[in-house]
Amino acid sequence: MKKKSKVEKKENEKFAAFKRAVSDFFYNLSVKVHGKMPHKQAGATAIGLKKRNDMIFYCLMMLFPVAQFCTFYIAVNLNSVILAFQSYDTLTGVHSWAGFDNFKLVFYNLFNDPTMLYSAKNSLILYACGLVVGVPLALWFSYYIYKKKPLFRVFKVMLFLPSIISAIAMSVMFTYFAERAIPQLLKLIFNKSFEGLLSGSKTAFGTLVFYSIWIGFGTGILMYSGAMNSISDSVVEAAQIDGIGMIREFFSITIPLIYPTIVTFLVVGVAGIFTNQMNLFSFFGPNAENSLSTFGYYLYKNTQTASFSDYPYLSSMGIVMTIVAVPLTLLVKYLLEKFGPSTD
Amino acid sequence: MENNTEKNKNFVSDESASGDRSVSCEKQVCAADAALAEDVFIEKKTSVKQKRKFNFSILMLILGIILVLYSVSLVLPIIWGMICSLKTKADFRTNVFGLPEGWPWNWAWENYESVFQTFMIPVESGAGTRNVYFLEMMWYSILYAVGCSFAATFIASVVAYLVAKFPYKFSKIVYTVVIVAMILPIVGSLPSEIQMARALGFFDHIWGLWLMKANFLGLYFLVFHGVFKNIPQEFSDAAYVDGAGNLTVLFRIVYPIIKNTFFTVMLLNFIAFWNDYQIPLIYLPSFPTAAYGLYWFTSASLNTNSNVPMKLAGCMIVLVPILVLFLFFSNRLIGNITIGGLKE
Repeated sequence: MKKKSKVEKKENEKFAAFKRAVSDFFYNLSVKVHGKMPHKQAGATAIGLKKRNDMIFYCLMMLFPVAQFCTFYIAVNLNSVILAFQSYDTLTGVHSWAGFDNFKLVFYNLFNDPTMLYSAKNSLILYACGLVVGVPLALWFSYYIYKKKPLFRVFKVMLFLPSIISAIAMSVMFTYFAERAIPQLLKLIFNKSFEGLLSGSKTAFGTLVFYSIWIGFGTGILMYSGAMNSISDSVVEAAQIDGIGMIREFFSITIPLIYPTIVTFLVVGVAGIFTNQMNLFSFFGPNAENSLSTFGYYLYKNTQTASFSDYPYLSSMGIVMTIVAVPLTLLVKYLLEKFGPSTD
Repeated sequence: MENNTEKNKNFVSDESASGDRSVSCEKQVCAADAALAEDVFIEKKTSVKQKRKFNFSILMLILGIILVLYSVSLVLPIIWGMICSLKTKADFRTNVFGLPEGWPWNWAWENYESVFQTFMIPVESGAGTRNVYFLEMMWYSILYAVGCSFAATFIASVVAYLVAKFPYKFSKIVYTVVIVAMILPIVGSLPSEIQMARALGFFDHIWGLWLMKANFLGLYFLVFHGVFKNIPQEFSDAAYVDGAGNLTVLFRIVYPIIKNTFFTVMLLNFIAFWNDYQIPLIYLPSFPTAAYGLYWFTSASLNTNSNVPMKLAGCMIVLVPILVLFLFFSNRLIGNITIGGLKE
């Protein structure tokens, strides 16, 4: 018992010393900061003191987040650019300057490698389907929830459910459902044997696009219905007094009023062309058919299986895509804001 | 006053943030106007209402039917997976749709047991390799998900607080950086990030990922920013007058007020990290998480004639905790989190 308390005491002393050191450090720091503000030095008022304390508090709290941001956003992206111009020697482990060699290879592959061509096609089709089918459905579903029609709470939970289910668990269940249960069911109905939806070459792509839209409503529904809920009741009431119909209300009141939210979603979504993996990795791991590949899948798969010597090539490919994606995103933002309904 | 903030806690919008009180006043006025209008137009309204009701029902009926179909199509594979996870291998081959053979106590509950005994990943440790079993993976999952979600949520909330409450120039810069980073689609920086993590010694350490995920970029920053803007300054000022420091105000006054939002965002982050297998697959080769293990086990032998019910049992073990968590907190998770347009 005594021994323990001794140890504790020692610990306490250590802690006190540490505390003292820290407070000394802050004191020195504050003296330094203080010294930099000569006009406030003499007779600092309570407000001046508070201002200075605020400044110190602000800087200290910002220290880690800003350092983290500088390392894992700015430095990572700069490094990505540098990496793209380098080559890596596997034997010596040395990075050397490679000029535009990586980019030449990227452009060559973009137009000649069948996987890249498939990726481009599939990514665009997937994005278009999301835009034409996914977004309008999400808007109509949100409208249903916003109008508090029967079972709207249940549907809201249901629509959000796929977003919280593990992608890998969901895709495993869906795989076996599509591969075993559905062909069996079709066999019972049509008395003819069918291929699995994912292993059949004709149905695989369609199934994957369907799956992406099918599980992809969650966040959109949340944001759209949230935005719809913040529409002022008086506007809706006034329109209803004028005898507006439900469809008319949707197009003339609801959509224009939540337009900023829709724009946000569409603008952020443009990057999806280059990052959407179409759940291929969950379904097939690194072994998906080349004809099913998308840009996102191609990049992740190759990074996951890559060695150091592949990183420069992958980085330069990322940069080429970023160079396409950034102006595209800004263009979409500009167009949507220019030609959309006015939000007043 | 307190009630008012309670109500607005989950209602987040970077646009409405500036004028919380004016908005609620406006709503009251609108309600009064509407009541007046109702009296005046009461006759006209009833006739309109009848006409409108007809329109409503057809459109909403169709939407309702689509939503019912959607819900069924979503629940069906999950329930099918649950049932099949209790079948023996032979039973699954012949009896795809029905309930498992025998009575509930004869069902193949041993599938779940064997998940813990046979799901394993060989991991290099020191000189040799050792096998990590499912229970250990669950532990890594908890470490990874709790740590990362806390780090991400805490840093986002602290930075949002500083930006929202301290009107320095730097705050404006941070806000702009977040918006720009959200719009700018940077593709393929993963190789560079891996290199950076290796250089800093973060690679293959769970704490390394905690630090990597402790950034403030993203949607949740905007959510917190809106919440902090909505908190009346009076609370903090009262504490300052009583001689509280900035840290005391932050942790004893501000965090208790926003604890609901904090908890919600952290829960959403937790679910995302728990389900994530792609990041651990790259960064944590020695600490496989449960989702990673599931990916490993299911994709390693996807097309061979392996034990499907056992894989489905593994899915259930990963899925059910999250599902319970979600259903328990669904009201809170899918409450009103909204964002408005992008402002620069």
